[in-house]
Parts: sequence; C-alpha cells; structure tokens
Amino acid sequence: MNITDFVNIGTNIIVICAVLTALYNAFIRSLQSKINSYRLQILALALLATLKANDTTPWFYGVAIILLVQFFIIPRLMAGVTNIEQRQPGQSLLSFLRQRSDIVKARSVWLQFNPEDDPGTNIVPTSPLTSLIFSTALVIVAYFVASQVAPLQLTGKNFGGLVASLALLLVGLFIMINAYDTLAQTMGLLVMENGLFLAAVIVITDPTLVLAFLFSMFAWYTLTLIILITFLPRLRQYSGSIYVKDQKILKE
Amino acid sequence: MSELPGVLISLGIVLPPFAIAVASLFGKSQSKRLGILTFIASVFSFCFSAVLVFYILSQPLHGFQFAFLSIDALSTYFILLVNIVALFASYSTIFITMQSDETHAVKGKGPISTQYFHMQFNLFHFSMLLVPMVDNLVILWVLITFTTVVSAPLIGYRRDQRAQEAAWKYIMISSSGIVFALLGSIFLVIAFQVKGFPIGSHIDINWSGLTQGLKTGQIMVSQNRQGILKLSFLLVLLGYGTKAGLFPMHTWLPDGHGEAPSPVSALLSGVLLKSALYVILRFYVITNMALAGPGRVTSDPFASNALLIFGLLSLVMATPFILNTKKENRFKRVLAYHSLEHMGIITFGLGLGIPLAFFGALFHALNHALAKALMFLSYGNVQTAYAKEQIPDEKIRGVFQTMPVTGLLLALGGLALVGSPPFNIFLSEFIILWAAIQKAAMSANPFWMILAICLFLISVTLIFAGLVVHLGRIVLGKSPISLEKVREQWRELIFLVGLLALLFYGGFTTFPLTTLLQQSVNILCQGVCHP
Repeated sequence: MNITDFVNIGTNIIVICAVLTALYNAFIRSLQSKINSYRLQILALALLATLKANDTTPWFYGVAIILLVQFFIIPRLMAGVTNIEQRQPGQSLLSFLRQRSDIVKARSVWLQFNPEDDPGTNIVPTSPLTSLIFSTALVIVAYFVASQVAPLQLTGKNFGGLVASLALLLVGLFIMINAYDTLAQTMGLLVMENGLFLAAVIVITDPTLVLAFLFSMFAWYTLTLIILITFLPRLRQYSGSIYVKDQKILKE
Repeated sequence: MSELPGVLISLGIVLPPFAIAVASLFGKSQSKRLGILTFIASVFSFCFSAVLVFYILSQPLHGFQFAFLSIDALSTYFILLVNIVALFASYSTIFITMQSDETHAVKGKGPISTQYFHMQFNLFHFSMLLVPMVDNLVILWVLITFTTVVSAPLIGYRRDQRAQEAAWKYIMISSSGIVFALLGSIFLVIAFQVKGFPIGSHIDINWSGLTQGLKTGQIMVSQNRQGILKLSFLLVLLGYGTKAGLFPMHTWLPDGHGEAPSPVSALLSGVLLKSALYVILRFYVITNMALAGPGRVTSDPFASNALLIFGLLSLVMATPFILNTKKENRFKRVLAYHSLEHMGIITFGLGLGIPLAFFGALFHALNHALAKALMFLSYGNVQTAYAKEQIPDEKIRGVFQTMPVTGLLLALGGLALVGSPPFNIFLSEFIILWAAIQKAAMSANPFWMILAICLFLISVTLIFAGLVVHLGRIVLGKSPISLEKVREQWRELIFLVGLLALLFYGGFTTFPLTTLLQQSVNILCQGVCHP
C-alpha cells in the first residue's frame, strides 16, 4: 500500500465520519450531544484539509487551522447564548466574558433545554426515529443527485466527497427546519457550512481558488459570530426563550 | 492610465456612505445631524453615479476594469438603481431617527442607538454599491453575505420581540440560502476547462475573465461537464434567489419588510433584492455562454427556463397572500408580497431570453424600486402619525381624512405598483407581456408559453384587485384620530412628491436611460440572443 492509497482510504473514512456525525446530529435531541457531534465533524474536516494540504497546496493548512479554532470556540459561543448574566458595575470585561462563556454552567441549562428531560416543553415536531429515517433518505437523495451530475468525471474519492457534501447540506437544512430551539437551529446552519467546506476541500485543487475560499470562510465566520454573539442572545432576551415555538409572534 | 477617471468616479460613489458610516461612530449622537449627513452622502454618491453613466457610455467598450473592479453598462445601471432609492430613503432617515429619539425620551426604552442605525444604514448602502462593481465571484458572495450582516440589525432596529424575531428569521434563511450560492460558484468553476490545462485549474474566478474566455474559446465546458454547470446554476439561483426573494425562498420577505423601519424596508425591497438579482444575471450570462460555445447562441435554454419557472411561480404564489383581505393583514407585509410578485415579473421577463424582454425586465427592476420606495416611505409617515395616538397598524383607517397629501401619495403609488397607466410599472409590464407574446409567436410549440401568459395576466389582475381592497381599507373610511392631532410637514412630503413625479414620467419614456438599458441588454444577450 503506497501513500496515495493511504490518503484515499483516509479520505473515505473521514467523509463517512462526516456524514455519520450529521445523521447523529439530526436525530439526537440533547443539545450537548449535538454540539459534541458537530465538534467531531469539524475535527474530521480539519484532518481532511491537512491530508489535502500534503497532497496539493499548503494553503489548506490555513483551512485546517480555521476549523480547529472553530472546534474550540463553538461550545463557548453556545454557552454565551445560554448564560444570560449581564455585566455588573465594576466587573472587568475579561471576567464578564469568562462568566458568559462558562461551558460547565451552560451545560446544566442545555440539559434543562432537552425536551426529554423537560416534558413541559416537549414540542419536538418529529420523533428521533423519524428524523433518522428522513435524514438517511436525504443522504440517498444526495447520492442520486451527485450521480446524475457527475457520473464519469470524478474519481471514487471525489465522488464520495461530493455525495457527502450534498448530504451535509441537505441534512443541515433538515436539522434547521426540525430544530426545537434556536441553538439547534444554528447547529443545522453550521452543519450546512461544513457541507460547503467539504465540497471545497474535495473539489478545489487550484491554489488561487483555495485562497479565495479561505477569504469566504472568514466572511462566513463573521456571520456565524454575529449570529451567536448578537442575535441569539438578543432574541432570547426579548422572547425570554430559546424555543422555536416561542419565536412565532409574527405568525399570530 | 486610462482607467483613472473611472476609478476616481467609483471612489466618489462608494466613499461618501463609507465615510459617514465611520463618522457616525465617532460623531455626537444627534439624530438630525446624522440624518442630514447620511442624506448628503447619498446625494454625492448619486451625483457620481450619474457621472459614471456618461463615462461608461463614452468608453469604446462601455466598461473598464481595475484591480478587483469591473464596471460595464449593466453594473452602472444597478449602481444607479441603488443610488436613486438610497437618495430617497436616506432623506427619510432624518425624520425617522428623530421620531425614535422622541419615543426614547417618552418611554425610556427606544430602538438601537441613532449612531449605530446610521452606521449600519450607510454600510448597507455601501455594500450594495460595491456588489455591481466587483469582478471576483467569491468577493461577490462575500459582499452579499456582508449585506446580510449589516441589514439584519437594521431589521431588528426596534427593541421588541417582533423586530428581533424578524431579524432572526431573515439572518437564518438568508444564511442557509447563501451556502448554496457559494457551492454553486465552486461547481461553476470546476465545470470549466482552460485550453491546455487540466479541468478545474487555472480558471479565472472573475466574471469578466470567464465571459471573455468563453467568448474567445479559451475557456470551455466539455459535453460531459454540462451537468455540473447546470447544477451550479440551479444552486446559484436557489442561493441568491433567497436574497432576491424568489419563491419558495421568499419567507423572510414579509417579516423583514414588515418589521424594519420604513427607509430600511425601502432599501430592502427596492435595492437588496435587485443586488441579488444582479449576481444571478452574471451567472446567467456565463451559463448561457458556456452552454453555447464560442460565438454561438445556445440551443439549450436551461438557464432561461429555470428563471422563467421561478419567476412565474413567484408571481402566482404572491397572489393568494395579496388577496388575503379578510384577515387584518399589516400593510407592510402586503407590500412585501408585492416584492415577491414584482421579482417574479422581472425574473419571468429575464427568463424569456429575448432582447425586448431583457429591456422590459431591467426597466421593471428600476420601476419597482421607485414605486416601492414611495409606498414604504409614505406608509412610514402614516404609521408614525397613528402610532403617536397609540393606533396599531391593523387599525389604521381614513388616511385621506387625516393626512390628505400622504393619502393621495399612497393611493397613486398603489396604483403605480399594480401596473395602472399612466405610471412606469404599466409600461415595463406591458413590454414584458409583449415580449412574451412575441416569444410564443416564435415558438414551434407555443402551448406552454400561452399558458404562462395566461397565468401572468390572471395573477396581475387578481393582485390589482387585492391591493385596491387593502388600500381602500387604509385610506378611506373614518379616521380613529382627530384631524387636529396630525399635521403633515411639507419637508417630509416634498421628496415623496418628487418620487411620484418620477413614477409618472417613467410611464411615458425610458429616456435618459434608454442607451444604458440597451447596452445592458447587449450584455445579457451574450450566448442567448441572435446578434
């Protein structure tokens, strides 16, 4: 087995891992588990970018570093939405940020937000099994779409990557639609984002394109940061809830 | 350096709103002063865009390129469109932020600070000006993402649950849509091959480079890669179509337009949707040229058909929402569904794929922007006057009685919006309809085209009736507030009267934009029309 075979097998395993974590994210209800599976997915993609950097252009190390940064900051940002303390007079900014991003403290609230532990707010539209069946069907749809558009031109490794990236996009969209709270909804958006990254990592080989892609990643992260730092806390402040069902005042 | 005048004019267009955005953060929090500065920036930017029109038309190739900028007739038309609407909307911000300050003083709980409002308003204006100027497809995507970042806080301007929810929905729906747009852009690039290089390498990711390469035959798409190209166009249409408010990704429109302050609603409806449409147009041209091959006209109307279907669906699906007059619908939400209707008409026109239809569709984009600006800004004045008397939106009646001039502006603007003669929208809708009839006459199998024309006519007629009922409810009847309590201010109305005059003028002629429109049509025609 030479190094290329090794890279190919590694790529396939990572791609499968990315799809499996998306499926897990789609059916699991606990927010903590959703965050963990998302982090695992991020780690897989970072590994893939590293393999690609060895294979093609070192710019992919930049992609891997950005993904690793996300691996560490996402739970803290989610905690920042969950912990709603306001800054006290005389409190330093650093201490305030530390307090807001305290994951251990947020975890207890995430448990509380799990509808299985909180029957009073059990408003999940679909059961976990239905979610799993539906999201698996979406993976099959992704396979058919990919095989229709790229029957001959992609190698086995790239074809699998294309299927996986389309699957992540569709499953991410499903997570967003099916979410019972706004944090889980954001998680769906992040899974979609990973689908996009996977597509880029799989199909892009040209160094100029990698640079352009790195630039777009920064733009995307700005958007994600604004959602998690500004909009979600504000939404929670005004509606007093993170549940999607409480964000329907405009439909009334 | 022959591009220098063009570059300086472009800087003159984008720098004023950017400068005021930065200055808003450091200036004192005087809403009137900031409003006036925002307006002055828009005036400067508008004047430079008028100069750009003359400059572009005087150039031998009707365009120029410099660094990451590439400006041609189509870009210039959209820059002008952005600036005309921004001019009227920014004038209105002088009064809207002053009123917000009054509310703040009375209730002690107001919207986000005036400084932030003006900063974001100007950044929003700035980002939409940059969109038609930029050459690189990825930077274009970044800019469209940036418009979401700066416009979402403007939708959530008021500190209440409704506004925050609208902002949240807008940002989530736009962000999920925009993912597909970037994926589409990536697929587009990997579908191409540069002569003498492997597939997907050495590809120019600038739209000008791609069109030039496709024209000369330097860049091509092999037969077995056309599937990826088509998928990429669909993804782009889905992604940017979300921002353009096309069905079925339009769901943010009623909430976003309905809850934003009126000048922001005018910008969202009049300009943001068109900015996203502009990006779709660039991809449309590239796809058509790629499917056709160098110097030929495509026999595969895939991209045109996709636009036609999405456009017609948007128009048809807007109808029941506008006809829903039983429920006391908020008027700004009704106006938002009109955006869905008009974006449908524009996209339908573009999907016809013939020069006359392109002309009508581009002209309709400007007409819709102007009519919508008049409606949102006039209704904003009504909302403010009634809100002072604690009258909620749903209970607004008798505007003719309490605010006769504003009532008249609303009524005439409404007639313009539904395409009544002698207003501009009538002219552009008529051109599109005429082009559709021509297309049906040219077609070997005209059944589907005739069906589309019938659906178009039925929808437009029903929508006419729907808006008349909504408007009648608001402007006629007995006002719940006494006449003495409302005084219309001439300084708030004068610009709106000017806007109405533009709508009226546009009903008779496309001058002085005719040459610019014709040049833009030539750009859209590449790969799809016979020379």
